[in-house]
Amino acid sequence: MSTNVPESIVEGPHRGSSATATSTRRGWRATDGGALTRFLDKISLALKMVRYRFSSYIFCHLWFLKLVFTLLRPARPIAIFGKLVILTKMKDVREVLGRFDDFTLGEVIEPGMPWGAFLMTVDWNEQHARERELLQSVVKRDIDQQIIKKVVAEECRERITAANGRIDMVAELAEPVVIRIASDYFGVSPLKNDKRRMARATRNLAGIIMVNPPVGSKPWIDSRDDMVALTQQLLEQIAAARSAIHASPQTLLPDSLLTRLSVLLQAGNTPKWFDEDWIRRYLTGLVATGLATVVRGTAQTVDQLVARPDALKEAQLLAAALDHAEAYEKNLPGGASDIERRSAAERVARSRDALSHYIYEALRFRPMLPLLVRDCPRETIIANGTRRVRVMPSGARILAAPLAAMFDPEVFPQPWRFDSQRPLKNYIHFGDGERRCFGRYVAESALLEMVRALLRLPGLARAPGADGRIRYQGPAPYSLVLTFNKQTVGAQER
Amino acid sequence: MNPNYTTIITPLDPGRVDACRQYLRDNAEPRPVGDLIECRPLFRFDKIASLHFCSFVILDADGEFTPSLVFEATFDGPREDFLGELLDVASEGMHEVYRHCADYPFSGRAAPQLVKEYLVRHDVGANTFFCGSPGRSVAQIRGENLVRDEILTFLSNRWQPGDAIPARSAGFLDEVRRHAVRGQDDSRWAEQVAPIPWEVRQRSAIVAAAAIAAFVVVCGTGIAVGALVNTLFGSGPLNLHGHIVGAFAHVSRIGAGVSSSLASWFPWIASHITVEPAILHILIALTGVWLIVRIFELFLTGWTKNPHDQLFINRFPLQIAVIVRYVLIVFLIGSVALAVISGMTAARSAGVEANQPGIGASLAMAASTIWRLILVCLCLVVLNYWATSLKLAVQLRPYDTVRENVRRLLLDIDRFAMVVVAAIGVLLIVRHMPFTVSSQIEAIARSAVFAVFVIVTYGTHWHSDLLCPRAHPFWDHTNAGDQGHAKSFGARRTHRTGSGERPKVRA
Repeated sequence: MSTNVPESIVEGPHRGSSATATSTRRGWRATDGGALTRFLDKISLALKMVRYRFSSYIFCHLWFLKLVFTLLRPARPIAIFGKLVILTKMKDVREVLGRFDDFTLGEVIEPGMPWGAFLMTVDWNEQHARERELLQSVVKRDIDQQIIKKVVAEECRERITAANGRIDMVAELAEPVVIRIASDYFGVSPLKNDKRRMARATRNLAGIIMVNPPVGSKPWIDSRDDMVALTQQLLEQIAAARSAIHASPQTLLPDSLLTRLSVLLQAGNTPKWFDEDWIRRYLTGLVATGLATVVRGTAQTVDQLVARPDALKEAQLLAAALDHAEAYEKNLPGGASDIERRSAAERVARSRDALSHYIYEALRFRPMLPLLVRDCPRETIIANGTRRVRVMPSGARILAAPLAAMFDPEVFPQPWRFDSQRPLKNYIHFGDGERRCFGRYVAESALLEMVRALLRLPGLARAPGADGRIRYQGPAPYSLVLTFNKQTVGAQER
Repeated sequence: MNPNYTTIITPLDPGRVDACRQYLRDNAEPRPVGDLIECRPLFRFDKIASLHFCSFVILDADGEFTPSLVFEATFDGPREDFLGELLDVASEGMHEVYRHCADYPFSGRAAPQLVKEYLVRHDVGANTFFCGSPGRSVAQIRGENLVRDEILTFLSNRWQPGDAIPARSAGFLDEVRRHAVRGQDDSRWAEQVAPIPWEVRQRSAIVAAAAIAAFVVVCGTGIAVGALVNTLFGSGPLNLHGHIVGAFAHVSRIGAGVSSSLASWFPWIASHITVEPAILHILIALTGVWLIVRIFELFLTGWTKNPHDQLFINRFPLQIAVIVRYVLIVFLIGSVALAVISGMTAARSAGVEANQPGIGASLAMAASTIWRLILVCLCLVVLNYWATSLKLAVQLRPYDTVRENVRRLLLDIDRFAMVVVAAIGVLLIVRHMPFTVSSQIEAIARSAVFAVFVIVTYGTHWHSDLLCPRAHPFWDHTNAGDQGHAKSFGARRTHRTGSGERPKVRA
């Protein structure tokens, strides 16, 4: 099968024992100079790692960014420091995210996506629209959301049942859930059928997208190894899907995005650029960008809710109300009238919407992607017609931060107050404009179901000590331990 | 390589003006063929490989001049080669046009060398000329045009509906480079980096060298003139130093008056200032004078923008004000340098005189210095913010004259304040530095500062003298350029080319 997989990925060695791992790390190095060169390389790498860790810290613990944005917003809402532009107002952030041709993304994000072109690296508006449309054509939104919801609910139930009053909501809940979504919905099985390995891989891949680690560092090597494994597995899975489509009726195949895309490809009459390599690249992209982001969003939402006992209590009541509304809808007798069914459905939608408000508001204080970056290839003007108007210099890098925008008092009055009544349309957790998150329907369903499953737990609180705080591996969370009252859960279940 | 040029002006027989014009129109003016133009058989300018552009213009008679025929051209290579090639490809046409001009050799086409010499004799050159593609030869322009056509063809044919367009502009350019440039034998040369003339490569160094040379010449001449004058009047060649010291004493007295007023208004600031009073007073007085000069300059600048009002009598005070302002800045910087030197001296004296302070006192002193430095940094941030705001105010929409002058004045004040705050920061650091400057270095530094003062004063003196009789040429020159003509010819009347015939040929 022809493929555009970068050679460095395909040829990259696998890691086994520690000795092999050492040789692997050497294998990635382009040159092997003398002792002095190696020493200087080590020093250089150590310095770069300090910078990487600092960037990761800033990206995860947002107090510094919040302080900077708060100081800049009244003084200089569009601040230009050389070639770095910082936006702090919602309108300006939306404007930059909405102007596809004027503010590009490919240059910034390509180093973090070494598996090849993906939706996010495409800067040509028409091509981006075509590829997005093709991907969209295999999504059955309503059905898929139900599938995701069911998968998440099942996995959460199993995981929480197994927990004994104490659960690491990242490692024992969110990561298994997103890996199951990858497997059942995307069609990407866990690497070597090892869910822990797959969880680590999603963290590593997300890590290089959010904060690119220095070349040759452990996170960089790990991410390359995972990329190799994922690429080889996807190539095999795509080949297997092709064979299965030829051999058996379509209805017998698992209904996943991989199968749907393969079927579409085999059906023919598709654009020339749509091939098996495209499927590989896009499924890799969905796994790398989607899974760890959902984990991050869930962990940070729960972290903010448990930090606010009043909000947590109200959210738990809403989760219970949603359960009741769904149970009522489910248990409607067969002879129920349309009005009754519609009323029940509306009640479910209202409850779901109310809970979403809490989740979005909690996430506002710690967004899953606090910073969005764009490049400005040509000189242009933003905020035209306002007092903030500025000329963006050519070649500038722009920080269009959702974190800053969602603390803009014009759109979020009293931004430091937790207010669950704010309009949902004001939030930009999933970006804005033509580049808004493609997998939003997946992320929203998974996020809501996971948070809801945790909110059902009576006495939900942080575990004491450091375990009760989110711990990060690079920019991706890997642990947040919560405690709950196991006896009460058992009683409720009975 | 910059193109060469020629402007051949020949008197024309008054009775043949219309016939000549008609002849040029019929035989020289290229014909449009589709999107292109085609040369006439008698004037195959397109066969001259080195030709950029040429035109014939007939100037009618006026009271002062007889009618003239003007032929102008820009081309690569020596003028003689170009004229030789021109007479080769258009010998009949050129002969027919020029045989009605005064002094045209009777031998005509039979002796082309004589015709060429005739044309060279009437070449008046150009004071200035326009070049559409500076630094490029005709061959290079043609080659680049070919590359452009290749790229257009590639772009038109490469991506059909359904084809994948490269994800980013870099990939797109790479495709173009690979197929339209590297893949074509005729275009592969475009991969090589074009040589950059040394004048372009070293332009910053050239500008700096020219500025330094001008400064040295002006100041050197000023010193020589001043020394001569002082020697003639018996006061010695370096007496100016004494005048400067005297002037400083006078300025210092003014500054002392202002300083005492300020100290009475802002006593808390006065208590924190540790600069030597004499220098502080000079700083204050110079700042005041600078402010007055700047306001005066802005008033003159904004008075009128009409070119007709830009007379010498109006421009002269403005230029003097600009010079004085810059001189004042030099004096201010020098005064700050003197303040720094005095600060270091004070630190040395304090170190000698004071007893060894205890740890507590040292910590308190360090804390005091640090918070003052933080205050200085904050002031710099605020001032920088203000400066940026003032610049942004006119980024997209200019102010009217009065508001613009106020804005510029505020910007100057802001920058000035930044310099003062930075100087305060330097003084704070200097006063608490553990080492001190020896008295010899201090003496040398003071002498150097005063030497600069003397040089600048002489230079200003000479520059002002220079400005008096000669402020016109710049404006004359500019006005010549304002006629909207590509060339400013040696002969004044050639500005009237608008009424003439202008057959044009682009190579």
